[in-house]
Amino acid sequence: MEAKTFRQWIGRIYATEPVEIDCDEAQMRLPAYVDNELQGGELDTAVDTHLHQCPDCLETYEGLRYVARLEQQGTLAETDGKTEEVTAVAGS
Amino acid sequence: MGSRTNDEWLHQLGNQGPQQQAALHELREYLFRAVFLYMRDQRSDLTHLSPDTLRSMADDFAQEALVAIRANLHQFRGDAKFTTWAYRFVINAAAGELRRRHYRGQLSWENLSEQERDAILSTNQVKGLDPDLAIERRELLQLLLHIIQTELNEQQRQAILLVHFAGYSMQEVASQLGTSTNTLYKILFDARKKLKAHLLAHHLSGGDILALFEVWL
Ligand SMILES: [Zn+2]
Repeated sequence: MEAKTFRQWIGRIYATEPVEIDCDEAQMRLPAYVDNELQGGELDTAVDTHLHQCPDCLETYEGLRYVARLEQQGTLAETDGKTEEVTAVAGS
Repeated sequence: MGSRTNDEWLHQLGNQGPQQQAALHELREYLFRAVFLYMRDQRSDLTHLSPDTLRSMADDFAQEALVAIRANLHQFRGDAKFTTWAYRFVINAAAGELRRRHYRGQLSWENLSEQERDAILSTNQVKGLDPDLAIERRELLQLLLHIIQTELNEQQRQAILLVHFAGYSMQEVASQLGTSTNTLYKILFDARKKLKAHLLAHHLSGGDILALFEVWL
């Protein structure tokens, strides 16, 4: 096993909480979690824990955060997908 | 964008008429743009695809998400912006389909014990390590292996091997185990709880273990 994999595995074991929310519940809470993050609000620690443990929900979260941030910046509305003048927004 | 409030979205999408048509049309546009930009900017695995291909995929995902959103409108709790809630459907449509496309075929857990042994004990292979440290590391890895092989059931061992060690997606492994990602999460959760409890019973903290494995070549 590579160092990164081993360290992540040990990290996941010790980050285990007595109670954790499952994927369905994490998915339900993700939109509010992302909106909250973009507004600088306090984060839902149960979702944090789940994202640390679940690669699939993490993927959803990263994608959702990206498009929600574009919308917040007003960049999403300018896109029609038909031209290539849309500029990618850095970050995330 | 954002010209509608959450209540307006719900009201217009939920009631038949010209307003509904307009809202559906606009929502579909938003979904299309969101998933198009997601695939174009965030998916390094799709950079080889032409804009036309991405547009066509985005169109399919937007349509699929729109259907799912209409079927799940009653689940919207109003705790997020309606559009953020809606984008989750289209991101999941894309991410889920891309994970299916990346299936690496039949996952194997034949010789489960050997695979675990190889994965874990290979972690210690550093040349020129202080002999005492090398022994300590070896003992810790043997302990981890022992806990896995004596305290976890076969399903938990398979899940750890494939998700934690081999880095497969939850979706991929759940499908191989013939279960849902939700159940797979629970399997891994139970496995982690056991591992943590046994390591703590040996008075080992996460910091202790990571410190032992700081040196890595
Ligand atoms: Zn999950």
